Amino acid sequence: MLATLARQLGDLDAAEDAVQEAFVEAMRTWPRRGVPDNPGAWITTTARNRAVDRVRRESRREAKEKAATSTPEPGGPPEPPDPSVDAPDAEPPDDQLRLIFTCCHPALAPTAQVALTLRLVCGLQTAEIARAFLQPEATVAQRLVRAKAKIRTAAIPFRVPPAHLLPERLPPVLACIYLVFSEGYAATAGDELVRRELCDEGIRLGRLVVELMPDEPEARGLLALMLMQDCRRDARVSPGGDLVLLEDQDRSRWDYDRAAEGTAELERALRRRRPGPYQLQAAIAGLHATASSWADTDWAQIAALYAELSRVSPSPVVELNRAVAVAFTEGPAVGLEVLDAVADDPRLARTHLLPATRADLLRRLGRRDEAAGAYRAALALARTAPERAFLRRRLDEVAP
Amino acid sequence: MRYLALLGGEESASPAPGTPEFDTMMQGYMRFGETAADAIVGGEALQEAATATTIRQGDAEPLVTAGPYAETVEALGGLYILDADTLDDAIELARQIPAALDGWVSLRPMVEWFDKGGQASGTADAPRYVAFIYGKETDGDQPDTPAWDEGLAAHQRFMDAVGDAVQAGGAVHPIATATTVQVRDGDVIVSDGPFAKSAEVVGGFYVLGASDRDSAVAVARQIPAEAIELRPIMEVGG
Repeated sequence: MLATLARQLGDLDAAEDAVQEAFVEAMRTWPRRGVPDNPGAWITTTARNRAVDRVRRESRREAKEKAATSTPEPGGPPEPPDPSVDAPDAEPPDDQLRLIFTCCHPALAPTAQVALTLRLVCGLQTAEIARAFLQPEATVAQRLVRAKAKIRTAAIPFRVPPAHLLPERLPPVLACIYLVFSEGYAATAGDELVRRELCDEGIRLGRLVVELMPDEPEARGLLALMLMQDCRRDARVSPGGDLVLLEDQDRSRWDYDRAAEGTAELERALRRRRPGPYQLQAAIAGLHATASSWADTDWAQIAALYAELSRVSPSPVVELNRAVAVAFTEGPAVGLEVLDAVADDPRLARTHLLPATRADLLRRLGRRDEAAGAYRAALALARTAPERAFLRRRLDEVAP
Repeated sequence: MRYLALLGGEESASPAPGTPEFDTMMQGYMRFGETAADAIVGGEALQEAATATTIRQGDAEPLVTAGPYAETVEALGGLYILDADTLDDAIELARQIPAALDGWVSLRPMVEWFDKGGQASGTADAPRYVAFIYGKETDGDQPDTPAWDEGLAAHQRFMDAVGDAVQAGGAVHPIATATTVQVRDGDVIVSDGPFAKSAEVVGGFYVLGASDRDSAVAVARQIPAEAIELRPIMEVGG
């Protein structure tokens, strides 16, 4: 309802305030008068009325200001809200898509994009976002206030960009959705329930974008990637809360329906013959999802896909993953060479992934002392308890 | 609404007047001036940063020094006032400005803009200057606050005091609303914030007409601001 109201009012803040007021009103009146037949429509209508009241109250004082700062819809002013008409129960998905593109506008900082999307599109509370990203609530609240002020003041439009702008505007939207999902999936830490919600929201947003932009293979590739990673979610953590590596996961606990759905989405995406980073990553995740065991995994194909990924979207993390795949096909020594080529990249300096991967390759080469040193380096950087527990166990193995 | 487009880049990489490269660059600006004629409300090219004079308000007397407010590799080279409905429309214009190709364009939503002279060009006898307002951003830089209204009143008193010396001017929204536009290898890179936060125009600017640098300084030092960077305008128009 927020997206529709925001489009009608041309003002996110006003829409958000109005929805909040409507909920307060509901809490006040429903216990006395009973819950209306259609609570969703009641809230929307009330919110709209509240917004109209507010606009009327402030219109005289702010008439000039308003004209200068509202973001008109292309093709005319937003339709005037009509309080007599009941709002539809569900929000038109087009409005949600507009809202996503507004929240993920490149003129907003990526951290602000994610917070705004979670707050305004997914409806998460500021406190929940703060918990999910391990940030003080005040920091997230301030980030949201600033971002909304920028949308209003700089007149960031509330629309899906025209076709010629999509190649530059869709990537931040997909990156934001994947960040929402990854934060839930690879959780740097935090509340388990919130994390699960983030994964589900990421997939929901992914589906929404695919539904509304069916011709964008990378959007579909992202959905496929999230589904194929999500199929392993329950098997990633042991009942005791320990991280279980892909290698050691109980594959009977994977959600093969999800994987199959991911495979179907990937196939539809690949048919467009416009491969991109998300489709490549989905293909890699798909090879894992369809392998009957770690040993039977098609490592040669995975190494080749990582090489292609490195070509289209170079990153030290991709090279790190390629090193792992190469180590299985050509041996840990060759993998180590790939790894050493990116060892000094500053973008890897603060993650435990580099020393942890290095430690594993050294361990498999029987270089126990060096492996122990790398495990210690990884332990110093790992942030979640399961990851730390895993590294500790491995360190004990090589340096008893 | 109106956007102030601040144009910047590495001055050392910019071609010198009189060279063929300079002419090519100027042709780029002429082309932009033609294709975006309907959206361009105003614009000025600045002489190089070395010609700048900086005035800092001191306890007693203002401190006047040669050179720009911030000694950075990236220098301000010009500005446009653009009329656009949304930030996307402003970005669409900014990407066509030659500075976006090898430097940057910083877009700032404007609170207001006035032009008393109707963009009259200066002459050798009557040069013009842009006085940019710099300093720390304060509550007074937030529109719709009592502090802003106080500031506005002070600026009005300044304009009343100096009369025709002020030809045009504009006030901008806070730095947090800035957006940087760059074009690299044909790709448009849009990012949050100004290009260099430490050296970003705060509050706004005036276009001053003065017989010479000293009289321009005499006018600029009356501007109610923490610091002013005074830049001679490069007269390029007809």
